[in-house]
Amino acid sequence: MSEEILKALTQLFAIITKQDGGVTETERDFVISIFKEDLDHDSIKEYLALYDEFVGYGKEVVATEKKKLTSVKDSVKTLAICRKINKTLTQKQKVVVLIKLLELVGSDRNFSSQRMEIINTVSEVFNITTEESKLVEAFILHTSDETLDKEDLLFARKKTGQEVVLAHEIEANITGELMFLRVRSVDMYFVRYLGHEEILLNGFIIKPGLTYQFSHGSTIKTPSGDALYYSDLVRHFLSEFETVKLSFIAKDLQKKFPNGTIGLRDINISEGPGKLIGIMGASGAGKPPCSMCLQA
Amino acid sequence: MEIINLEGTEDTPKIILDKTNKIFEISGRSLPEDSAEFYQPILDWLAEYAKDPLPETIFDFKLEYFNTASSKLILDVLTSLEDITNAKVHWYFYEEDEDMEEAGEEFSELVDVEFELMPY
Repeated sequence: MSEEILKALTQLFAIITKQDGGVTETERDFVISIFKEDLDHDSIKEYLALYDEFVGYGKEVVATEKKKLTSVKDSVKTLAICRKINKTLTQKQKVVVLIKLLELVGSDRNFSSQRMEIINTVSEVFNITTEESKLVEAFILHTSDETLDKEDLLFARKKTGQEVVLAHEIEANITGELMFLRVRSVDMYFVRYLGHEEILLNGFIIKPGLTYQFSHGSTIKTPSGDALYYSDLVRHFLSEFETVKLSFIAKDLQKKFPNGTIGLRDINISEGPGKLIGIMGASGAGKPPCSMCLQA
Repeated sequence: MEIINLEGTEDTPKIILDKTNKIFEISGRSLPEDSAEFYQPILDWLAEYAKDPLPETIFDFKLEYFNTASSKLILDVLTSLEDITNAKVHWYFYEEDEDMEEAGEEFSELVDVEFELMPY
């Protein structure tokens, strides 16, 4: 990310966390963790100093009885920052920014009205629909003791006995739950784990509660040895909208070429919907004729 | 064109859009429940006005306070002024109100409309 955008985001984090009582240590630590993703040690110090200045960290906060409203200056600055972001970042990157903002206020569970109003306005200026931003909000704010059942959200957890089967749920041998979010407008998937096990995403342990992008080719591995691949996840999401589940059975398939030679014989194969299979064989065994016959 | 004349309340601003008397004003406090819904008629009116505007249009903003949701709609109003030839904004602010002054300055940088900051 360019310096200009990082400065803009730093200001945005500050404007939001300044509201409703000011920034907490947890939130400031979260900002630091965001910086760590993109910056080297020296730059982190620089941007943190900028953040501290914008947010008034370390300054005496005058406690007032009245609820303090967002200053008009901060509101317009927010618009200016969003404008800059709109010009520079892609829609996918903007969705990631929205997620970071929600995680930031979620880090200390301070979703107060002024902060949420700013985030909602940011979302609007980013051209993210209200429906989608509400979904993202629900995903990030969700805790284990709530029931959440929405389209574009998928839960993976251990099913025990008599539980009500939710539509958007799959079985997984883990304690706690894995949540997946599908953001349709940008075709992106995100994952969050609520629990205490060591869940691996692409080889590294994910921190409980945090949101990670689940991109093309990603894999989740659980301590019990289960694996969830990107293609599996997409299949689960899409299978909810399939009206016709396709499967096939090929029995005693045979293929003769125009010159009389036999290309295939005694081929028996069947498969269900949504599976990714590989046909392997030595050179000349007849792989292309096999797949062509199956396609026909 | 019809006139829009709304009295201001605790949460909604006073609006006067009167082509005949050459008054274009938004003043008071803006924290409506649903900003988009509140400001839509104003945006519609301006879109209509833009088709046949007066030789000069001076739009007065005399706001005491506006929330973040309103700020976006105020920006939409200002953006619609870009389509009106010879439109100018008079941004009033109480001279001790630095925030409102800076808000005006920020807005002026976001839109291509002549801005005059008017302390009182």
